[in-house]
Amino acid sequence: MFNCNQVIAELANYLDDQIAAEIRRELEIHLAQCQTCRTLFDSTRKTITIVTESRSFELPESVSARILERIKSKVRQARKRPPPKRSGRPSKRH
Amino acid sequence: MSFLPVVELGETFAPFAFLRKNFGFIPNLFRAQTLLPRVIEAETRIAESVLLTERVLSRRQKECLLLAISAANQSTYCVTAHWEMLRTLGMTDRQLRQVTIDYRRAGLSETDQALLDFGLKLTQHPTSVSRQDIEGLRGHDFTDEAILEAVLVSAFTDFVCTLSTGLGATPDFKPRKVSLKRVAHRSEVNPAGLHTHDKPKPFLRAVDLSSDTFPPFAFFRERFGFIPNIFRAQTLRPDVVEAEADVVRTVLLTDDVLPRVYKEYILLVVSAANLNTYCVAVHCEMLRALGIPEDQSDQIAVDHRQAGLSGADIALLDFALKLSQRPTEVGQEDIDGLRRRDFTDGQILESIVMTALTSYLNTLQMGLGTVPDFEPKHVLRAHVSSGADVLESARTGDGDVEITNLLPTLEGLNDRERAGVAAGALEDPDGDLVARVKGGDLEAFEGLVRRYDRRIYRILMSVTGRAEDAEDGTQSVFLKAFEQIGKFRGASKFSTWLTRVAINEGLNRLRERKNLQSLDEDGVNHEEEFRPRQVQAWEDNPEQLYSKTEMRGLVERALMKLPSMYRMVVVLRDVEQFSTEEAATALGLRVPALKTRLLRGRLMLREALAPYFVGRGRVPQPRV
Repeated sequence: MFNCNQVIAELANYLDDQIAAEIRRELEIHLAQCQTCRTLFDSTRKTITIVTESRSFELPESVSARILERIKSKVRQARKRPPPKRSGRPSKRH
Repeated sequence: MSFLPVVELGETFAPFAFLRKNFGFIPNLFRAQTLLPRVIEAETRIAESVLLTERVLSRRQKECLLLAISAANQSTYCVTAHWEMLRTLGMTDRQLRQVTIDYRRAGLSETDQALLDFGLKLTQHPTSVSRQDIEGLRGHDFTDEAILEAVLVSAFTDFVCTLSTGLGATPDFKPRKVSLKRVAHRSEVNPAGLHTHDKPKPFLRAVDLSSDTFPPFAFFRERFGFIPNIFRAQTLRPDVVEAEADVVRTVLLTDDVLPRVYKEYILLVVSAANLNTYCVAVHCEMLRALGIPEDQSDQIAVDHRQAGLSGADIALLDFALKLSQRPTEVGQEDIDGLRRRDFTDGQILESIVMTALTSYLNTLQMGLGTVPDFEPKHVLRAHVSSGADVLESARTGDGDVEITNLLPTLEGLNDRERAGVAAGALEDPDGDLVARVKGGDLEAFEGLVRRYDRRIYRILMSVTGRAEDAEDGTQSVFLKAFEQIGKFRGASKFSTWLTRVAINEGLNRLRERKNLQSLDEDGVNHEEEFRPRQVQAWEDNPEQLYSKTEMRGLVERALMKLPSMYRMVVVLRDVEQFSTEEAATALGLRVPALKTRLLRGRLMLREALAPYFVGRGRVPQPRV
C-alpha cells in the first residue's frame, strides 16, 4: 500500500485525472484509510476550484482600454516610419 | 561547426577511421570533441556496442527509437542524423516525418510501436516506468535481451541529444527541423506505473559474473570498493558493460582536465534534478570517498547554490542543469559565460560530456529498475533543486526564455512538409487573424490584442507581482509581437508563442527591478513549505463563504505569497487552464519539472488559503 509521501507525489496526476488505473486503486485504498491524506486531497481540489473561479489578476476595463489606445498609436507611428535597412546575412542557428 | 574549437586529429585517428567505415562519414558530433581524443574513443566504443552491434533488435528498430526520442527531445542534430540513417535503411521521407510527429501513424508494426511507446515513456517520463511496462514488452514477445537493448538505445539517445546540444554541433546533412506539433500518446503522457525506490529486484534477468573472471567488475571493485548494481543489471550484454567501464575509466575517473570532484558534482546535481534517487545515493557516497562531507553533498543535491560553493563552481553546475533540463535554451553565450569564469575549453567540453553521461546513466537506471547500492535519503529533497531553475535564470541572466527557440523555420523542409506547416496554421484558432496582420491589417491586430490582453496581463502579474509592471509589460508584449509576427511561422499556436513573449518580458522586468538579495529572499524556505502543515478539514462549500470580490482578494493575496516560479505555473494551469504540455512549452520546462512545480505551488496555495476555509473538526498531523 502507498504511504503518505507516495500519495503526495501522485496527487497532481490524481487531481488532473491523469493517472493509471493501478495507481488510482492504490491511492484510493490509502485515502479510504487515511483521514489526513483525504483532507489534503479534498482541500487541494477545493483550492484549485477556488483559484480557477476567482479569475484573479483580472485586467480592469479602464486599463485595457488605455493599453489598447497606446498600442494602436505606437503601431500607427511604426507604420509611418520607413522600414530599417537590413545589412549582412541573417545569422543562422538551429 | 560547434561552440568549441576543433583540432586536427587526422584520418588515421582510429575512432575516426571506425566511424567513417561504419557511417560513411565522421559525424560532427565527434569532430566537435577533438580537444579530448580519449572521450571520443570511449564514446565510439559505446556507439559500437549499443548501436552497431546487432544481437536482438535490428539496426532499423534502434534507429527508429533514436529518431522518435530525438524528436521528443527536440534535437535537430540527432533528428537529422538518424533520419538520414533510416533513409539508407530504406524508409521514405514521408514515413520518417511521421515517426518524428506521430509514430503510431508511420506504418510501423504493432511490435515496433510498443518499442517506441516504451522508449518515449522511459526518456520523457522516466520516473513513471515500472515493471508493468516491462511486462507489456514481454507481451509483445520481446526477450529480456531485447528489452535491455531498448533501454540502452534510449539511454544512448539521451546521451547524444544532450551532447550535441551542449556542443552546438552542426547537423551533418540538410537540417530536418523538429516539429513542435509532435503527438504525445496517452501511454507516454499518462504514466501507467509508478517508479518506487524500494523494488526488491531489477526488472530484467541478469547472469552472474564474477569479478575474478570478468575484468570490468574487477575494475569497479578495485576503484569503487563495490560493483554498482546498474552494471550488474546489464550482464546479458557483457560487451556493453565493458564499453561502459571504459567510459567510467576515461571520462569519470580522469583528473587531468576537469577535476574528478566537479564530475561528481555534475552527476549529483543533474541526477537530483532528474529525480533519480539511485544515482543521487551513489554519487553522494562517491563524494564522501573524495572527502566531501555528507551534509555538503546533501546540500548540493538539494540546492547547489546554497552549498558554500564558489561562484565558478555554481556557474558550472547552473550550466549542467540548464543543459539537462532546458536544453533548447543552451547557446554559445553559455559557453562564453563559462570561459569568463576561467574554465578552459577542455573543461567545458568535459562538463558537457559529464552532463550527457549523467542523462545516460539516469535513463539506464530508470529503465533497468536497479536497486540502490546505498540507503537513499534524498527522494523528496531532490524535488527542491529541480524546481529552482526558472528563478535561477532570472537571477543569473543567462536563462532568458529565448523566443527564437520556439520560432520554427521552414528551412530544410520539403514542399509537402511546408504544406503541413501551413495546414497546421489553419488549425490555430488565431491563424486567420495572424495571417491578416502579416498582410498589414491593423484591425486584425487589434482583434488579437482584445482577445489576449487579459491573459497577458495576468501572466505578467503572476511573474512580476506588480500592477504597473503588468500594465506596461502588456503593452510591450503586444508591440514586440507586432514587430516579430513576420517571423512567426505557426509551428506552435500563436497564443503559446505570445505567452512565451510575455513570460520573457516579465522575467526581464523582474531582473531589472530586483537585486540578487531580494531574489534570494524570494526563494527561501521552499523546502519547509512543501510539507503540508494545515491538515484540518475544509468547509463543504468554501466558495459560498465569501463574496466573489472577497474571494478574488483572498486568492490574489495568497498567490502573492508564492515565489514567482510557482505562481506562474499555477496561474497558467489553474487560472488560464493551459494543459500540462502547453504550460511546459510556454515555460520552456519538461513535463515532469512542470508537474513537480505545479504540485508544490498548489500545496503552498492551499496552505495560504486554509485559515479562511477550515471547518471545525481537527485531524492528526500527517504520517510522513
